This record gives sequence, C-alpha cells and structure tokens, in this order.
Amino acid sequence: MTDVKRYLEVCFAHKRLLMAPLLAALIGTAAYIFVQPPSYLSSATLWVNGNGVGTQSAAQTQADIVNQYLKTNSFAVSVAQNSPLGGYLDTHGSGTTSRIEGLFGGGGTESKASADTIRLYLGAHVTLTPLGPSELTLVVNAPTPQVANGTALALISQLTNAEISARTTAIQAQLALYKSQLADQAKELSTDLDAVRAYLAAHPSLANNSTASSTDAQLAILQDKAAQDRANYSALLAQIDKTNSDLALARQSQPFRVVDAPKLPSSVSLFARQELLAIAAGMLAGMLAVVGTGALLVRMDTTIHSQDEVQTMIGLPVIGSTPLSARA
Amino acid sequence: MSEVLEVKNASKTASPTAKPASVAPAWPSSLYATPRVQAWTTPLNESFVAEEIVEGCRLAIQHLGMDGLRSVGVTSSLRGEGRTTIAIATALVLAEYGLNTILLELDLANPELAQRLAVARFPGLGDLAEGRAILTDTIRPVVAGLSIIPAGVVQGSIPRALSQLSKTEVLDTLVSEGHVIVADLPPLLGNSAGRQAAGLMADVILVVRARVVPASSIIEAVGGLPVTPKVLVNGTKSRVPGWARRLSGV
Repeated sequence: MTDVKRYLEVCFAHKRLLMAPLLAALIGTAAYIFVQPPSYLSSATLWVNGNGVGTQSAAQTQADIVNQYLKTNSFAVSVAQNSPLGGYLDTHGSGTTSRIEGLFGGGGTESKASADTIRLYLGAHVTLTPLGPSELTLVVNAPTPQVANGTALALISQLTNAEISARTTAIQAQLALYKSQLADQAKELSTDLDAVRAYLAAHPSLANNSTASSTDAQLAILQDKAAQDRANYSALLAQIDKTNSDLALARQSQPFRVVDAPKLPSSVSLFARQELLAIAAGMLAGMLAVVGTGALLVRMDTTIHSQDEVQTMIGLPVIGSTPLSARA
Repeated sequence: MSEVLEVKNASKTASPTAKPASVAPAWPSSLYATPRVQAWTTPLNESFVAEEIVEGCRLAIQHLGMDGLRSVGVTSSLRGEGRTTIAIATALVLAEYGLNTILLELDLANPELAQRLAVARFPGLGDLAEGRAILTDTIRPVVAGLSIIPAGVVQGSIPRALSQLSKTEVLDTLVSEGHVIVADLPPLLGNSAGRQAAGLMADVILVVRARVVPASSIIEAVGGLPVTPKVLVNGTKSRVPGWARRLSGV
C-alpha cells in the first residue's frame, strides 16, 4: 500500500512530465494518420443464395470463399484489370499517395504493378463481414472514390464469374466426356450397320425372305449388336441433353444477389480500419510510456514523502510535519 | 559579555541621532535610534504564516519539549525548503506559550526575516558583531512576547561575523535575560556558515521539504553537525487528488 501511495505521489508530482510521452504518442499517431493516403469506402451488401458448409452460415461460407479468391494472384489481377485499381497501382504503387503528397499534387512514377502487389493490396483493403445468415457486406477501402467504387464493382463481377465458372467447370467436363463417348458410339454403330449390310449383300436370299433371315444366327448376332449400339447412342444423346440443361441452369443461377450496389463515396472516411489501428497503437504506446516513465521516476525518487519515512531513510529523530509547503 | 556591555554603554553615551564612529553609511542614520515604527508592531497574520503551518509547529514544539529550551536553530539542507517560515511559526508558537522569544536572523548572506515581518533590516546581528551597534538597538518587537533581531549588514566575512557573535556571547546574554532564541539558520549545504551557525544553537530543527530533497543530500548535510537535528517534514500534504486516492484505496 505504501508503494502504491508513493507511486501515486510521484506520478501526480510529475504529471506534466508523465503526460509528455502520452502527448508525444498522440502527436506521432496524428502525424502517421496524416501521412497516410486518404480513405474512401465503397460498400455493397450481398444476399448469398444456397446453404453454408457444415455449421457455417451461407454468408460466412461465401466470405471464406471470397477471402480464398483474394489470396490468388489470378483473381486479384482480373479484378485490377477490370477496375481503375490496376491503373492506380501502376501509377502510384502500393504505397499510394499520402495526404501530404496529395496537397502538393504528388503522384509517383509509372511502373507495372506486380500480381503479388495487387494481391497484397486487395487483401489489405477489402473487408467482408457477414451481417446475418445470408447477408454479407463487402467494403473496399481505396485512396480515391473512383478506385473504391470501381474495385467494388469489379470484385462483385469477378466473384460472380468465378463462382459460376467453378460450378460449370465440372458439368462442362462431363459434357465433353459424353460427347466423346457419343462420337465413339456413333462410329461403332456405323461399323455394326455396315457389317449387317455386308452380310445381307453376301447372302441375297436373306434379303427378301424374312423367315430365312430370322432363322439366320449370324445375321441375328449382327443385328443385335447394332441394336445395342443404337440404344447406347440414344442413351448418350439423352445424357448430353440433360447435361446441357444442367449447364444452362448453372449458368443462370447466381451465387448471390446484390442487395445494395456499391456507390461512389462522396467523402473521405476519417476512421478507416488502419486509422483506428494506428490510434489504438498510439494510445497503447503512450500508456506504456507513461507507466514506464512513472516506474522510472519512482525508482529514481529518493526523497522523503512523509514523517514516517524519516527514521528509515535518514535515521534522524522526527518531531512533526506541516501539511502545507512553507517555502522561504 | 563584557564586549556587549561595552557596546551598550557606548551607545548610551552617544546622542540618539549621532552616527557611531565605525558605522558605514549603509542606512539612514535615523535608524540607529531604533524608532518603533508602526510596521514593527504589525501583528502576525495569515500573510506571514499559514495557520496550518503554525499548528504543525505547535505539535512539533510539544514533541520537542519546552523544558530547558534555550536556543533552537531552524535549518535545512538546501535553500527553499521553508526554513524561514518554520522559524517564524516556531517563534510564534513559543511566544503563544508565554515564552519571551527572540527570533534571530542568522542567515546573514540572504536575510529575509526582517522584510517578511516588515521591520527595519538594520542595525542587526552583523552590525552587532562588527561593533557598529549595541544589542538593545538591534531588538525589534513584533508581537507580544516575540521580538526579532535582523541580520543587519555584514561588511566583513560572514564566518568571521558568526565567530565574533560567538565570542561576544550575545546568545548567552539573551538566554540569561530569560529569552528563548529561535534562529533562522543558513542552509547546511553550499556554504560553511550553516554548520557554523548551527554550532551556536543548543537544539537544531532540520526542515526537510517533502518530495524535494534526496535522502543522500540530507545525510550529507547533517554529517558532522555538533548536535543531532530533529526533523520537521514540510509540505506533506498529498498531491494525489481525492478521486485517485479513492480509486487506489490508499
């Protein structure tokens, strides 16, 4: 308890000194935020069709899928190419332009942004948050309104394409297999029919005599094989029709519906995620500095605070104390 | 003692307005007559010493004990610890108890008492030590039971003046006349006068300003003192606001 009291006494005696590191941290945070590029937020709300995986909601599943896509270079590059983001990153690089550079019209030298740069930028500037079982919010944070809005639109478009592509790829592969099998079956059927025709040409008596032809074992075998192949061919045709139908259905069914389309942001977002993180980090650093400085001051303090400390610290008899500071 | 008496006799034979032979023209000659100006009798009030400080000194004096109390010096390790204020309060408390108290301004290098109590600054101890004044001329009444002898002017060296005061037995004379002496001493560190002046006192109160002077400086200051000083801690009022005390439970 005495230590706590002494700590408090020292801290309040040097409160201005203790406020200095906190103030420095806050000024540093403000400076950091000021040198950051401006933030424009463009958001969209999506309604996810279908069900989630396992115990996850559909929205959470879709968010996970989008995050997985954002980790791939091909998806990130396709988003950048279909939005103003690609051009912006080519001009400014991933460092973008700070508020200070913006004041003086600063930009940057043009160099093609790499796929990795684009992927990392999108990963840091796109946020997906499930609002409910099927509702998902997509927020794009960008240094200009056009880039924010264009990127959000491109992201939704590319996401739709990617999801549809993922669903139709298997059906298309199956269709291709069926078609290949159909071609093989058509050749086999043609061969079988040729064999029947050749047999009948070699035995003209069977052509006009139905009784004879029905009793001819070899002809029966050839005709059965041709009939079997025709049936297979027909079955394959039916499969192809069904698969084509499935493919059309998969192409028509959207993975999600856009409830609120992204809009062009009209004002700078003052407290985007990075700014909030910087403020929190600044406050934490300032508080740590205050505690550290306080501990240092207490450790260095060898002054007497009360008459109880006189005997222990300097070994002299004490006759009393005065509460007010009587200074000469 | 004999020198003091000689000085007294010399003063008595001189005209009240005449200038003593050894006096330098450091102040108007009329002040030698020690006229009882109104300022001398200005009562002590809150502008001199706060009541809380007087109360603290009252308790300290009770703790110190007044039996056989003859002379007590108030000193500190460093300047600015509240030494002069505590000396005034201590003298005031002793006067309250009915003791015939003399407040002695022994901080000859930086005298403040006379100015703070609004009494004439000279002649004083310096003049007494250097033979320019007699004891009775240096004593200024302040309130009932309390008088002050200011520092006056020291034209030579302060250690020599202190040594001369010791030789002339001024303090013994005052004590023998029934006075209790409270002396505002110089600080102990930074000069030799502090220790020398403390050596003139039977008891020494060491004022320690809370949260200001390191313990090592205090130990260094009291080292080699002829008497063990009693400590009075000054300014112990907590600087922690009430809300912080309640939150921390201290």
